[in-house]
Amino acid sequence: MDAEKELILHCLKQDIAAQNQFYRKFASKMFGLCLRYAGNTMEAEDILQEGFLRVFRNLQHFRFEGSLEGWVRRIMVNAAINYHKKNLKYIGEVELNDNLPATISEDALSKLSKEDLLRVIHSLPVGYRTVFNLYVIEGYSHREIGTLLGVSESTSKTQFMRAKIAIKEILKKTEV
Amino acid sequence: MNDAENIESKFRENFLDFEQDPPERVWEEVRKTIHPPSRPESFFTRIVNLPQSQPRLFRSYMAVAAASIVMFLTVVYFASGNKYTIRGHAYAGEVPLCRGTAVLFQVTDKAKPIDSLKHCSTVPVDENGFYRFSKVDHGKYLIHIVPDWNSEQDKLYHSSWNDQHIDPEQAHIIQIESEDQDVDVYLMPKKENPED
Repeated sequence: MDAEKELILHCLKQDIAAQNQFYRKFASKMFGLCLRYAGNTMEAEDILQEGFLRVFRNLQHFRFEGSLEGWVRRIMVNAAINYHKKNLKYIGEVELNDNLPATISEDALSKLSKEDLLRVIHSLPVGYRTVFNLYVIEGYSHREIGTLLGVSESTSKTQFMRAKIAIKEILKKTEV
Repeated sequence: MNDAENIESKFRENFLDFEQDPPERVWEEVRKTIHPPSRPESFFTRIVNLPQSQPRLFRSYMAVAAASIVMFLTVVYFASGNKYTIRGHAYAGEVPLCRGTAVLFQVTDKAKPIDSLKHCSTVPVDENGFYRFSKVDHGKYLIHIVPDWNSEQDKLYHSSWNDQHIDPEQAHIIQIESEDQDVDVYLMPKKENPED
């Protein structure tokens, strides 16, 4: 904790070397996060850049309560949501399709690599992708997701259901 | 575990700690934004921005300036400290002179007495006969008291030198060396009958 505190203090003094060290400490994990929220690699890089700018601009507000990585992660998620704000505000209530795709075999699922799963995520519409990430990976509740995205809890649930259906459809096509 | 749960756990398992090295250009863009390249500044702009751009240098300059001011004030204080006060009362007979003028002369070592007096300062004598000369340097002095013209005391007393003399050559020289001096001056009475 002392090493982190010292690093933060040096960053606040605009020490470029310290800021570079801070960036490298979290860049890989945060880029992984950005890749999940983005539609492609270029978008992920833009979100990462915006996220770190927000981190450095708000570093003086970090209170040393809770983990630094968690704080950076929250900022990065907000940056990702903000990046797609224009598209996300149009997500609304959608009726569920009763014609659900067939199940995916566990065997087929186990053969999928990380890159395959990333391609699946990238092919989702931004609303589905965002809600799916926030719920499954970040662990937010639908109520919290609703607050983050400015939608109702039920809209978040619906988006999530639609995301899973879409994922199954994509996986089914690749399985064939 | 049903289908949905399988998908969720598959994604969670793969992406919870998912990392990938970003390209170097991202850091370069971040760095350029938070540390924009400096444009040539005018001298005035550099001075105005010094506290932000070089806080340590600015603090050093402030410390040197403060020390210089303190040194200057100390020199001024001690230099002006070697000054003294000559004060006292002027009397017309046994009562204090009620208003007049006190004149301080410095005695220089010249051949003729009249050449040896140099005017230093003139101060009023108040209604209690009190006068004060401040910031007097080391040296030798004489004081000349002049009553207010046409006052009752002027009619009865001559303007006089300390301690009680009409002629400055006979006046007692006031030596200022290392302390203030209290000098009372008694005006010489005018004779009622000039022929006496």
